[in-house]
Amino acid sequence: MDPRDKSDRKAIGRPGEVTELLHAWRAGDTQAGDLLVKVLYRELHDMARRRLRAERPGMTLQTTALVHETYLRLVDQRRVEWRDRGHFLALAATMMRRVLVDGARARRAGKRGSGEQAITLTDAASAGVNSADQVLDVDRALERLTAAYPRPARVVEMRFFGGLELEEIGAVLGITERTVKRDWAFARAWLARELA
Amino acid sequence: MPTSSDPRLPDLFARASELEGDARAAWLADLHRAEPGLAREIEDLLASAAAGAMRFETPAWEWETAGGEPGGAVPPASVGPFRIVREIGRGGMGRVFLAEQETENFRCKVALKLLDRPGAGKEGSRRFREEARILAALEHPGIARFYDAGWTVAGTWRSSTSKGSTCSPSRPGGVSTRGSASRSSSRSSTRSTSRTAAWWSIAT
Repeated sequence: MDPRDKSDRKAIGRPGEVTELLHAWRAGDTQAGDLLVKVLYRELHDMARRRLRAERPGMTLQTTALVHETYLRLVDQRRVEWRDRGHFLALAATMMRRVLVDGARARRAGKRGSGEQAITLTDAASAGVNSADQVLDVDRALERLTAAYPRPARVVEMRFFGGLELEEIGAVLGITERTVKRDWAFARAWLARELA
Repeated sequence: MPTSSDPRLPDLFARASELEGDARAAWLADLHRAEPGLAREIEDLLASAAAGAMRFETPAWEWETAGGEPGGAVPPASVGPFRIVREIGRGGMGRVFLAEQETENFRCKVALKLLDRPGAGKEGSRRFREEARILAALEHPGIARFYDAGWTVAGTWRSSTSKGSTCSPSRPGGVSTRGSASRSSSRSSTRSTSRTAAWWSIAT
């Protein structure tokens, strides 16, 4: 399912509905998971675009704040377990990666202003294309890391793309914070070697 | 070098990372004797660790909003009279490039330090000025000789000296400067062995 599909955008979005989807997904309902992906993708994409437009030039988007605000906005806090929160944040990190990579691809293809809107704050086209290349290079290297070492790759996705704290990543993956730190250090070195 | 997907690699890398100095060298020597390929790969990763820590210190979205990886933007083709040849290093605040000036009579090379890390801001500028002040006071064969500082405004180079700077035609490979920075240059003109100069630009 293409998360960029807007067809369910208005149908789903209230905290109660997203929480239901989260519960159903955790219980093994793959359709609920697909819908959740759609809702999250659109929400993160739109929120990032709004935030970028509102920020002053030179300001940077705070990934962690974006993901957590999305969570607070979409999920009914009274009806969610801490474990659901972790799964939501992990899924949000994956969606953040997709939003960013899709935007980079759109810029690379010169589609700014048409089709999928690339999210960028920079006015300089050269800088935008440059960052697009770098993001796509990292994304491809991360695919290779996933094939060889899936857990460190997952840490990168949650930390680098999702902005999650090490403690949160540990809770999601069921490992200690120390192990998260080790995976993070290994993955960074591995990716730096790949990208050199 | 070809990369493996040996499942032991993450744990062995972590083990090596936690060791220092002689202890690490001894540990790696043991591993070389037992599994030289694996040992080389771990050494390779250890060599990439610092670059990885710097590269992924900033979340992906902040690369996006800043226009690229920290310090990763396309550099200008030239800065003032110098043509940028290639990047030769990078740090927390910016990058260092090999740059050269060529005229009909001479050609010289300099190390050009460019403050271009997104978000370096006023604090970055202050630290760069302080670095220049300290560097200008140092004179040692092992330390790049300070030459000049400047900044760009809307693509226009402005030297900190009153008349700009140029390489010395009488001393290929060296540099000299005129104007307010002449104190450092007059000293440096007696040291023909030094071929590099620190120069930085603040893009605004």
